[in-house]
Amino acid sequence: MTRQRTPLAFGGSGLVRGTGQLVTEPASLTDLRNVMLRPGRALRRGGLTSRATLASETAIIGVHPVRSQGVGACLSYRESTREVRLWLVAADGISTLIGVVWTLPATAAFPRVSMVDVFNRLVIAHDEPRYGDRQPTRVWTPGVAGIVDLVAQLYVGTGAVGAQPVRFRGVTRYLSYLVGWGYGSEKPADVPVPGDLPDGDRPEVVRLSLPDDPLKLRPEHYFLAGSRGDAVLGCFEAGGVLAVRKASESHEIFGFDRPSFGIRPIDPLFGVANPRLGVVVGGVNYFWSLEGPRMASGGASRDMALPLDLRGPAVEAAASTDPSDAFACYDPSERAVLFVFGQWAFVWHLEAEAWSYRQYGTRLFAGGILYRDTATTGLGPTASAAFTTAVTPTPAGDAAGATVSVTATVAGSLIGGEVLELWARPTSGGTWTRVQVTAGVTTGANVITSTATLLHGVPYTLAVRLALAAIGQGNALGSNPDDWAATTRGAATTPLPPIALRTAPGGVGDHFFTAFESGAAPVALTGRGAVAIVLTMPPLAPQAQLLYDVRHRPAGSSDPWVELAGVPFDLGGSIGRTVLVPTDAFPNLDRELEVRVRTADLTGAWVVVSVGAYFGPRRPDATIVTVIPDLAPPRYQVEVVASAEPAFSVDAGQFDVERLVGSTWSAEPPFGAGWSLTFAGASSTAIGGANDPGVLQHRARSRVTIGAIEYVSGWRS
Amino acid sequence: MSTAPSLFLGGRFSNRLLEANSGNTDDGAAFRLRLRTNRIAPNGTSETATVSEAWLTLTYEAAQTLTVRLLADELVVATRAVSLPAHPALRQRVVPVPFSVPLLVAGVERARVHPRGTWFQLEVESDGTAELAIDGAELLWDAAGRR
Repeated sequence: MTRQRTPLAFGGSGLVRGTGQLVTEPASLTDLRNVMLRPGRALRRGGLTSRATLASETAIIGVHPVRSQGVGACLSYRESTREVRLWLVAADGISTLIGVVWTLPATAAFPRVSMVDVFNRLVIAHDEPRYGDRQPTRVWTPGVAGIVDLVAQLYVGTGAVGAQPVRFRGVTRYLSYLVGWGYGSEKPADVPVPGDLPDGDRPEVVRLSLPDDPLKLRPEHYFLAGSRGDAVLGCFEAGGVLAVRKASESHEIFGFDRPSFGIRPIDPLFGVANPRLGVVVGGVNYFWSLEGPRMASGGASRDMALPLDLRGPAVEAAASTDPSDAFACYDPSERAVLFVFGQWAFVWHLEAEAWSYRQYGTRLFAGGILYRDTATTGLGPTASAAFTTAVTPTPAGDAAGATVSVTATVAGSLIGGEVLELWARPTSGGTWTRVQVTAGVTTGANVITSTATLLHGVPYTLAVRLALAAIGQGNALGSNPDDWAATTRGAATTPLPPIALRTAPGGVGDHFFTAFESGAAPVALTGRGAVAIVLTMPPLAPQAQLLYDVRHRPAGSSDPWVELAGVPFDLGGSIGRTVLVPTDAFPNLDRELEVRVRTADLTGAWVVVSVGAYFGPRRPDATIVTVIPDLAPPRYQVEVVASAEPAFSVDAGQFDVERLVGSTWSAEPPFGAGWSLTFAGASSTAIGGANDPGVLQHRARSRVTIGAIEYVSGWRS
Repeated sequence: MSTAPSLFLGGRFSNRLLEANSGNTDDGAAFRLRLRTNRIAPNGTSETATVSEAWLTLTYEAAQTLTVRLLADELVVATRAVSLPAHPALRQRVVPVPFSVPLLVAGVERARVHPRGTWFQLEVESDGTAELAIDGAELLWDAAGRR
């Protein structure tokens, strides 16, 4: 029988745990973890990358966009001081501390928050069920210093105390109204009627602001959702209504203005399990009820939990996580709704309409959408920065990158939280890069120094600006400094670092050894006319064309330098390779040598490395010992073979010959005393001998004396 | 005007703002991809089958190792580590994964046979950090008679 095949298409149906085996598709899965679902396939999901670190904070408890300004807001909690802080963050990681939102009492639980941006304001509510610990609802207006209480006079009866801070448990937006819930009024306990309670803690009350001003609340603009004391947990605008969800029931507020507004119950069974476990995507409210996930776009909700079989075999997410920490959010890049329970998440893939699990490497607590590549509005510093001067210090070593210090002059009023940004791009072209951000800006001169990200020997165009959360001042908007005011820009050329030179292996210190002296030439040193120089420098920009030249003169002299090549060599940015410097034109022996490197555009000064150079005689190529048998006592001859040395005067004194006696080398008589020397063509031949027929091991070396200095080569056996 | 929305997440015990779908780890911690199919009975619910091989259709580039498990009647009967060599470009490839189990007689392996059962499941797991897409699989099976 032919072997049969059954295809399994991964991912298409997502998780299907609760369906009988005879009706499930082969493409359905019982475990589907850390994937992105596409039709018929599953991809490994992307990771989580840290974009900003909020110094000294314990946790991040809220992320929310401020859409009117194209930036993001982030709330953090610092456990040591019990402070909740508000940060302005850009998607590229730049964060600016706006201020302290609340300092919680010692009795307060770990904070949970509710945020909404409305009418160019960010409204923040303390989602604390215990009214005694709940903090006032706060408002931050972008571009305005300080975070203020949302205040209103919501009680006008006997004992009215005037406008007081409102303490909503949650806030959201419906049409053009700010919606807050969980707060009644500042009405005190009614003294004339003992036992009458204060009116602040009214968990079933939903209030709406005036339509044209979210900060104006009227006493009579409220709804009572269901029975008193049964807390409203979340409100979600979906399907043209405002769904008001409690733990196990839902209502909806319908209408569009005060005469048409109304409230009615829509679901006596299903609500939202906690205030943060709901999200609205595409007009549909996805929320996690006490029986699992559901969706609604106005009116009745629909069950989404059946494929998950939450009450079936253990699901780690449901079993191991405190649901009070759970939250829902929308992931726009995956088109997915996430119900996150600590390290676990149930993911509803909108395109595939299928579920998967997700297991994160860290325990999550809050999520929200931030925006990249933001243009700007009126948010940003009121002061401005102008480029004044730039200093480019010589890098400490060739491993260090180039830096530039720019002095910028800040003029105008600072509102707090501004940062000074330094941007750079190679003058010859390329993209602008923000190379440094510095806080603590003051009016007047400020110095900002780039981190070691600049290339050496490159002319840069630089720009500075003041910014708040990556939004620049009015004359420096956007991320293209070419569009900024001309006063923000300047230029500087980064210097070359000290150039580390080293010889080919076998060299010592700063001496160059010629091929003649190199015992084990590692590179193809050609003839006697090359010096191997390895130039070692950090990576350079392709556009950083370098020139180098080599010049020389007699050591210790003040003779004019003789440039070796006549014109500089173009290294083309290739540093770190071996350069063979031809030395055929060198007079031999002791010379001062300079290697100089500079940028090809000649804007930088020469970087000079001076060394002494020795180009001495080469070691003999071989020694040949031959016994002369017809002499008595037997004699032998030693033949020293060396290449022609036209630059040297060849004579008998050019070679030393030693013989091995026992374990000691001793000199043979010098040439000329019983020795003979012939020189022909490409070799020198020394012939000599001694009355010691038992010793046949000799060695020889080259030697030459120039003035008072004697130069010798290595031995050749 | 705002563009390019991205999901950002905050941690209960961390002060780092994390961008979702970015990078290959969760702020440095590796995570595991796992897929386990529902049960299928290729030869019908009253018959058995032997599964000799699975052909995985994968799209990947970097070298990585997968763990592939075959479950027969809800028991893991074969586990294979599949090493995927690196390729110069992200491309789709078909990878065969043979399955066999030892036949033991008095504790001594006498032969190897293909796993036999009625209900089969395939599980694929990767704990690497490299990009991977699982486009599907094929089970190769032979009818093996009544259970």
